[in-house]
Amino acid sequence: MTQQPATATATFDRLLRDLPATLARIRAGDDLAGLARVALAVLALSAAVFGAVLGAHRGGLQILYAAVKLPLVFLFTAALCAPALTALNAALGRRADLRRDLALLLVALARVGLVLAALVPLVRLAPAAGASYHMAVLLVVLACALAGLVGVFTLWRGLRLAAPDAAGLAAAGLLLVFSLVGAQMAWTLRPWLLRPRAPEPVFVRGLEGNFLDALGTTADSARGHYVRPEAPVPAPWPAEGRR
Amino acid sequence: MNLASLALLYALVGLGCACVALARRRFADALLLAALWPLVGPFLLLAQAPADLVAPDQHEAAFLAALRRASGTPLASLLPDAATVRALADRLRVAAAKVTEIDALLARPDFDEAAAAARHAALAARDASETALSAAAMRLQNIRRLRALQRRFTRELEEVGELLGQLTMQAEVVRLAGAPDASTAELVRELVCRVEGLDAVLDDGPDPPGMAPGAARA
Repeated sequence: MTQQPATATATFDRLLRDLPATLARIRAGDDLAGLARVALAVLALSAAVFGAVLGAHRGGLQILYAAVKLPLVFLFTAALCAPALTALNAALGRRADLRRDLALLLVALARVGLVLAALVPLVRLAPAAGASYHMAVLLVVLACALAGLVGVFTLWRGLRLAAPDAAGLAAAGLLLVFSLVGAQMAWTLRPWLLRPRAPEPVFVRGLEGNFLDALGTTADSARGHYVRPEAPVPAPWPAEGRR
Repeated sequence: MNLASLALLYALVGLGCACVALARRRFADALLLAALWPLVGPFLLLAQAPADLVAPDQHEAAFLAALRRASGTPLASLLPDAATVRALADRLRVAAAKVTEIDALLARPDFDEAAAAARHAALAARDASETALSAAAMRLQNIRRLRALQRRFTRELEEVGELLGQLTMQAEVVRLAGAPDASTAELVRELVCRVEGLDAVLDDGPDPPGMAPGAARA
């Protein structure tokens, strides 16, 4: 029997409005390449729009930089984490299939992108409503957390549909890996909003430690223990003497 | 390895993947592969896993694809709703999985019918105890029962496959020729009944020799 793949528009429509049908398509392995193309396009476009809005906080070149970098964060993280999902599935005795797992991950991320795109007006209008730089950062974190919840829910449903056994454990494992890799990727490709005191937009900053180091430093700063008298002025990458 | 080396390695692998796609005359895919090979490579370059070719999902995929293709045609008014389609697809998947499972069982040496029959005959010939004879006979009977189940599931799935093929063709005819006729409606009804009937096949087990399918229930 010849299989005629669904059009990209129909696939996008199902991605938006009929998640069970999309997940059933992944489980059946029906035209996964077509589904992946649409999911990639949706993810890249929506992440670029959200990135542009982040960059618009500073304006100028930063809009372009952030619009290019945010899709890269998602795409590189997905590329690194999809094999982890397949490995987790195999380790937990579930059906492990790289193509299906990658398709599920891309669909979950495409829905994350769609939620981020839906929140664009809120993030864009926050400065107009008097939100400071730090408030804007918090708002972006909240938007990402909300979108992440939608992604986790999609992933969990997809894993559960494929095989109910240990679906929660596989989703939790991937969430841990994805969070760590994604956070480090976003950290590596910063800045996003750009601090008000930063002189000029740069594509990426110097590689100053890693995300976990920064988390520790931030936690110390929040308790009033500062490791340096003031925040450094960021240097463009590649910086002299970077680690 | 620094960032430049990594980027070079990434680009080289992407170039290699793009060359493979170009050799297959898939120009758009070549561009996509060059830029995003870790994400699209598994879909475009990896051959479908051998397990997939005979996977239980094969029938489900064909069923869903046929229904999805028909969704934009006048045939759509005759089709079951999404929830029913999913339930039907589940039945197909379960039935196909049973066939695979039974195939695997029958491939095992301890499920070999000829060996079980020979063992039973040998026990009978040397005047073994009634219990041993009975156990051997029961084993032979179970193997035959499994074979009958396998034949029946396979036959039902083949018939559903043929109906799916017919429905796919009919959907194209309806798409080009206009409104579905009575035979199309009948075909859709028969297909849905057949898939729903898989439950009964799964529950009933094999037909006793000389009885028509389904007569055992009555």
